[in-house]
Amino acid sequence: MATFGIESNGRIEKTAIYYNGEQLAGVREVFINLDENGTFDAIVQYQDRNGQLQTKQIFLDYFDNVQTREPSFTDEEAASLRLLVVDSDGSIESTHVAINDEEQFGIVSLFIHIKSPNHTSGGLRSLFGGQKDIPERPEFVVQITYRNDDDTLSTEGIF
Amino acid sequence: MKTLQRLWFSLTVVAIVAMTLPLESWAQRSRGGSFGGSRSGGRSYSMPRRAPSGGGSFGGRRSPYSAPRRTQQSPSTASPGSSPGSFGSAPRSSQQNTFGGSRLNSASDYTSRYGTPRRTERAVIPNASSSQPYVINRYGGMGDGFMMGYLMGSIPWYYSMPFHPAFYFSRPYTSVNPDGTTAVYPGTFQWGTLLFSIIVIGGIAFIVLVWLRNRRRQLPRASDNDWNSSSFA
Repeated sequence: MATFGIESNGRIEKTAIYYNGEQLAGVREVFINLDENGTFDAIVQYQDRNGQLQTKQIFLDYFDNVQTREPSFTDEEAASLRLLVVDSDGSIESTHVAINDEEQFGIVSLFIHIKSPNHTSGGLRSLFGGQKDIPERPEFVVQITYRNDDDTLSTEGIF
Repeated sequence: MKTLQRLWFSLTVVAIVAMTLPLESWAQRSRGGSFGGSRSGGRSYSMPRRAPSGGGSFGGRRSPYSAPRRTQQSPSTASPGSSPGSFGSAPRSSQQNTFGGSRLNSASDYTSRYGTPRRTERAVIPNASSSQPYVINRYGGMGDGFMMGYLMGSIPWYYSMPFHPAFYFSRPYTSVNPDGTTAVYPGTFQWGTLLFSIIVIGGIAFIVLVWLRNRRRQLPRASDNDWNSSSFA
């Protein structure tokens, strides 16, 4: 079982990613798509200590050379943030989702896509044409869909 | 557009490399003087005379055929009759004069191209090794002014800077007159230097512009302080 947490106020600049209690650094993208039908995609892309980009399945792979950092938020700051924690072994049946330490039930789907914008170097190499980097916009989508008691579905943003 | 950028950049690189080479001395050597290619046969700067026995300079014995070591004479002391050049009395056209300019084969090399001087005057150069007067041929214009600066030994540092016109003029030319005096002619405008300068400066400006444009294209990102607390890079 691995625990993956996202603490944020809805802005990517104020987003901390935790993996088994440690705060990660150098994360480029997080993509999680879970639904009750068995869809289980949980991928993280990060820049390792050697500067290489690594793409891992969050709950299945070992995080090679991942960069970690000291917790960036104090307790006072954390009070104004929301914490989403996904605890799983890689299967939808044994996945638990908690928001601010409250376990959630009746989840139909969970969709998370957080991506930091890429930073093109624009160095001399860029003069030689080739593939131009298309500037990307930051992505921050975190949505959870619940099934209500009356069998209706409601989708909410978490942050 | 991409091809144009590549061409520009390649030209810039070539120009930068070319600027680091001793082009002036190469050009003077290849011309065998400063003007005209038709007299190239008069080069005294050619293969050194070799002893009949052949072989290199090292080892063996000194033969009576070895060429005498030539000492460079100052223009004021050089005379056509006294120079034991390979081609009779041909002046040493490939050598530099004391002002850093070129030494002409004859005065007609210059006058055939630029006409007769407007004024000719004889002057003793204060710092020259000889008291023999120089024959200064004045044509007016910028080259004329720079020539007087060189003759007076006043060569400011900014003469070698591309923002100063003197950078684009050659140094004064000299030739030895039949009477033993040295004729001095103004430096001439160097189109090649101008072209290289334009390419280099233009290339640098192009690189700076591209760099600025790329910087402007980058997404406006929140200040770095905001990212200090983020796990995202």
